[in-house]
Amino acid sequence: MLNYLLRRILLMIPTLLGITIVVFTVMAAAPGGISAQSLVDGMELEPQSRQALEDYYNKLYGLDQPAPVQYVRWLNNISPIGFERLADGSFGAFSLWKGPDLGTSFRYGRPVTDMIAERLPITLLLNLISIPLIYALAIGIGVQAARQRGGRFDVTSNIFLLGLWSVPSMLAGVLFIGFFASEQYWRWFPTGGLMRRETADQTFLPLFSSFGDVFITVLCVALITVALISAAVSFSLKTRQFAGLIVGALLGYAMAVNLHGEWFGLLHLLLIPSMAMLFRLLAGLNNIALRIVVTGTFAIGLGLAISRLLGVEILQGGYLLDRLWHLVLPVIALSYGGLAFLAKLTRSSLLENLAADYARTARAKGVDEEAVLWRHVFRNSLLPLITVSATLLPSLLAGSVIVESIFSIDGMGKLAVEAVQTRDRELVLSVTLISGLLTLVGYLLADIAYAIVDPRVSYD
Amino acid sequence: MKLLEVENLVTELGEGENWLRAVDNISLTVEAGQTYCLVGESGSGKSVTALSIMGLLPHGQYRHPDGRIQLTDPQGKLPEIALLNADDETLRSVRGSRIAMIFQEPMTSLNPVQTIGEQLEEVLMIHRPELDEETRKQKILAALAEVRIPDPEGRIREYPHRLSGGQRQRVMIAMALICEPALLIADEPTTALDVTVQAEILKLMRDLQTKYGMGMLFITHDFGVVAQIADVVGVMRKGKLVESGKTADVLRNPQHEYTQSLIAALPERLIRPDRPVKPEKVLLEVKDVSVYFPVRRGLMRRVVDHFRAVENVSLQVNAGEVVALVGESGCGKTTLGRALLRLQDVTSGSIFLEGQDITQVSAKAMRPLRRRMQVVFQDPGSSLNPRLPIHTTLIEPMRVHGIGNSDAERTQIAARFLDRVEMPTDSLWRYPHEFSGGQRQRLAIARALVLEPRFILCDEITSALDVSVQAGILRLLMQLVDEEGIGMLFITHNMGVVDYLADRMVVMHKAKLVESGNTQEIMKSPQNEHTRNLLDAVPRLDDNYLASAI
Amino acid sequence: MTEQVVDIPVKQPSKSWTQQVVSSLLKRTSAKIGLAWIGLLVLIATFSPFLASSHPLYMVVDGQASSPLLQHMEPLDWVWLSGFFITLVISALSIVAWKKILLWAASIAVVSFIAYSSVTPPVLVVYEHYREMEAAGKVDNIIRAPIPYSAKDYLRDYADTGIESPLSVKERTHWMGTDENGADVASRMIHASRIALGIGFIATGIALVIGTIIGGLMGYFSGIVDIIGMRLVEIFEAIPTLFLLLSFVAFFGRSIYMMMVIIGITAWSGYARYVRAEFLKLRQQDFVQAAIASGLPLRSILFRHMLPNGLAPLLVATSFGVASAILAEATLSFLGLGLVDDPSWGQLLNQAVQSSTFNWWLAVFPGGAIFMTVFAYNLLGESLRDAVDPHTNRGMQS
Repeated sequence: MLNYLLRRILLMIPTLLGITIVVFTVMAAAPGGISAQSLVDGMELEPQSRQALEDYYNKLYGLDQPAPVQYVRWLNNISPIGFERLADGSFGAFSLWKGPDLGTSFRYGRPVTDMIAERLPITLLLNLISIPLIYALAIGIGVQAARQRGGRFDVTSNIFLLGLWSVPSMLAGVLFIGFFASEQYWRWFPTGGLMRRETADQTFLPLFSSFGDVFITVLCVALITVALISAAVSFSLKTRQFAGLIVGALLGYAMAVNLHGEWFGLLHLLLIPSMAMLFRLLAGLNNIALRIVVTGTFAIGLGLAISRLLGVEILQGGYLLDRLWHLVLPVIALSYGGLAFLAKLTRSSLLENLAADYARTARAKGVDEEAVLWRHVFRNSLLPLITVSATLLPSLLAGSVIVESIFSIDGMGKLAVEAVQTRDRELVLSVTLISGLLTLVGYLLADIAYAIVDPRVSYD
Repeated sequence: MKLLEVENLVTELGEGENWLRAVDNISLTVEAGQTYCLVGESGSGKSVTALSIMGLLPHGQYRHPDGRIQLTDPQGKLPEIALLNADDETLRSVRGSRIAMIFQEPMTSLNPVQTIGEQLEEVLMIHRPELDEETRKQKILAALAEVRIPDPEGRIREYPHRLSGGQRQRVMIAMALICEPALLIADEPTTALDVTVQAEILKLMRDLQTKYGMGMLFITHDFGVVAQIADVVGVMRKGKLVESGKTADVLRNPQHEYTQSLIAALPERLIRPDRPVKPEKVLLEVKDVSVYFPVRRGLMRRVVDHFRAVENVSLQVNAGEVVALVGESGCGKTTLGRALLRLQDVTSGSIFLEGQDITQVSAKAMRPLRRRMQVVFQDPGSSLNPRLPIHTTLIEPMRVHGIGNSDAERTQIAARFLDRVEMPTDSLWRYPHEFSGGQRQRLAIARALVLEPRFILCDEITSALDVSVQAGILRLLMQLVDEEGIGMLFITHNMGVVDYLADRMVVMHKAKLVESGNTQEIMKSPQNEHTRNLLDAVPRLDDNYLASAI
Repeated sequence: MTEQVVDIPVKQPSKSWTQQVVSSLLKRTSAKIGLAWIGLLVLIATFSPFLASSHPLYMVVDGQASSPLLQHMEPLDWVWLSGFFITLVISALSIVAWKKILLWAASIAVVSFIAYSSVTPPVLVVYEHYREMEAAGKVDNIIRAPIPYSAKDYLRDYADTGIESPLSVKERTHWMGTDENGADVASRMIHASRIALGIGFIATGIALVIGTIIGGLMGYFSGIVDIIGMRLVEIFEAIPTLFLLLSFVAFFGRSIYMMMVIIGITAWSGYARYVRAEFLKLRQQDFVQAAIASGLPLRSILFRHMLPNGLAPLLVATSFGVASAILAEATLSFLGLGLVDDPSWGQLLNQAVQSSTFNWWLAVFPGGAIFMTVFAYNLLGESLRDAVDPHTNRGMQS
């Protein structure tokens, strides 16, 4: 196993080199290339000042040298062992402790390492929240669909998931902002960024005006959650669906009233039935776990709203809540695509394994269907999910680019777009390197996870 | 003492509008301590019968319009149960504890991600919940020892992929018997195993049956197996039970014509025609051929060792004769065959085709030579290109080798060969998926013949076919060899086929050649112990055997 | 040996694999929906000059009849029109598949050559001209396209043009509103369908060709070819695709052909993997071994025996690939890196949220178009997967 790991890590190096060469070649081969001229263009300068600035850039970054040389210089900079680079751009002595230096951004004038250190955690935050969410929901939906093969849930969810996967994330982001975060429609969520400026000084948890208020809030939320969840679990299908219908209709009415006032208009006619049907569907889910999750979320929201009505005042939202509130829309926009794909994959993998020979043997031993599913089939079905997880991280990183741009979140994705737009050589190469590295590490982790889960696979 | 009674069982398979009657009015009885063998060709409905008894058919895709299945306890302690259309809970209480079932493919029948111990323990936890952990472990070890698995302690923590096919089947048997069921249903458990391993497993099952007084319902297509273990045999055809009775009676004096034709089609019972005398002309000569595969380990994938697939094998095939190459799976016979055809590189040694050394000839120079040696493979499903009509498959090799002056002429030639292999000439325009397995093998033979080769390699070409279909193909091959003077190397593990078809035979074991010579002589008195094991493994129902053994 | 002439019966109708797949596909509802939408899109793209144009189809001014629409048709418009009819005709012919493709490519090349050398529409286009003439009463008879605005007609003759919601302006009917420059959204969407379809097909075509060649070589030859090939595949897989696209477009400028090539180059690795996997499997198949043993030339083994049998997963992947190519183009346009003046769905979508005003018609219509197209291709891909894979259909084995 150790040999295999070493081999993989060693093989990563040529691949990373290859990636950076490709990107470097693109930049160098473009009209204008990477020269000081493109940096200086557009500035209103006299010819002499211009020339001086160009010379300065050339010396500092070695921009007047041919592309291959520039590439080698860059390699030298990023490798932990190499020639030291002095402040004015020339090279000093060879050192074994140089440490990787990703260079300085042309546009921002700051060291790239700093900028990445600032922005990478934000992107990672978005993605790392999305991944468990995606897996948990996908497995839940997939299991449900596989259990009732050919049933209504299965067939409709299949088409629905495919449709969900087809929605371009830009459209989703735009629709989310447009409908749920703008002036004209329901302003439930913030338009962008990851937090309001004020909350930087606030406490981590929300601050209420008195202890009594906290008590009331907790009581409301707890009571309503328990009531709704027990209703969701114990009521019959018909009752639940009817209840969902009523709740949805009320909610739709409230939403329409919020926008257009009391009288009936097109919006009311659209919203009330569609919300009613949606809630009827959600309430009518067969899978108990999914029902509890949905009802629980709804109940918490309802509890908070009611406690607000009862006069509880929240002095400060607090850092945590504000963050969460800002994260809701971007995370949903980022994860729905992956969710749809994984759910379909889970379903097909489960179906394949439920029909396998070893499942038949288990049934022949007297194992009941639930146990066949969870004890025998489940682990085998996870294998393709793990293989796919290798590509999940890169696709989420790509998705981050769009989501961050739409929601104005300062993460790696947005940085990447800006770097490319301003032809910032150092930044572009560094972002490529980091993304490539993360992708390859993702592949490696997926392979290791696969080897752990599947005893048949062993790497010598 | 009646154990299982099946009356007028009807099973229909299908979905929605389309239903197919797979089992049509079957009645059988299995007694305690007795083995009932259900025999039939593929598609006869024998597996469906077994699955119907256990209720293991795919959910929602079957129905039983009629029938009754009663399970009785020979010791009278447990209640009598009607199995057909019983509810899930009843079936679950019965499965694994009163009736157990083992299946055909040991490779896929065990859960690959659970250890052997876990899978054995599961049965105990379901049906004997009163036992504590220590007792369970003891029982598991005892079960493994009983099926003669070496080192049970070490084995229980292993995963199925580490065991051989035979060992996996033993584990399946252990799993089935650990709760001491009264009835064991075995669905072709040895078909996927080697001949010698099959013999051991059958013996094991017989011993266990005697020890526990179990009833056994054994499904197979092999009459040799029937002769070895069955007390009562039932012959199925297209869902119906055409004949049943005591084994000795049915095998010696089959009443129904279908049974008669099945037994008559066994290769050991085919009548050998008088073979013409052949001139001694050496076609293919193999001298000290070895084929090694490099084994790579380590960080840099260096070659550390060689896997010896074939080691120093010499043999000879003359024109107009059939030489049988026999051995267990993994002995190297397939590799040798491929090496002879230059589909595989030879590590050392030489191969002479009609006197010409073809061992190191380049691929380009090989091409015209390939006309003289052809091959037919085992799997009818992949022997023909599914995308091409038969016409193209036959014409193309001819065109490449310059046979015939125009496509029209070549089509004529192809049609003639189709005639030769007893296929209708309109097959030219059809696609492979429209033909059955046996027909596809005939087409594959036609493809081999079209180039008029001197030498044909047949790699287990009838192993995947039904007995009756096999008989036709064997007769065809014998005709071709006699009439055209083709030399044939026939790879097989079926001794009955060897007996009928082969003039000489060559036995391989673990990459080496252990015995060779005239077929009849070796059959009568084998010199090498491996040959003896092969010959003794499964009985051949020739006249001697039927007169004496049963 | 006497040569008897054997009586060969007439060719019976019997379904080849392609025909089987097609008929199995057409039985599925989802495939029908997908194909219906794609067909609609093809029609819209082909006939777009006739569907949305400021140039009247037929106009009589001072007794003189003319067809400004036809006069202003670009060579590309003619190529699309002829291409459409050529495709219809060729697919109805019954010759071998690869010959069809060759014939199609040749005809398109000939038509393009003729079109580009002979058709020269006037360079300067003044859209307002017709409206002014009509207002001045000079026009006797006029027949306009259903949507009487061209994609680049910014309605400069009207004073206050800017983003407007559908049907909100009194004097003009904009069924889907206008964009920030004043151009009619419906017209821009219709003309943008060409870009979407074109990029989808061509980019995927390029990726398919590259991927098949490299993957096939890797799968057949193994050894050193395989090692090098796999490194290439890994490199292109690990490159953050969107990022590479952004880089390419940002550095190389924006031209539609460049975008097609670039999207194609970033997508080939997936196809290469499929082809390689299939070829590795096929090499061990008996009929391939038999073909080698019969001494058939390498060319035949690769193209006649292996490739047609390895097509199944490739077909499925292609359908999904076209969807992702269209999505890639829309994303680039959305991020402002697409074509500058030419209309694109993504670019329209970009204008939907501006300075916290939500222009819903710029999100719903172009976004909906992107969604429906991607959805259609995905549906097609799913149905192909079911039609091609025999296992999912198998119910019973008795």
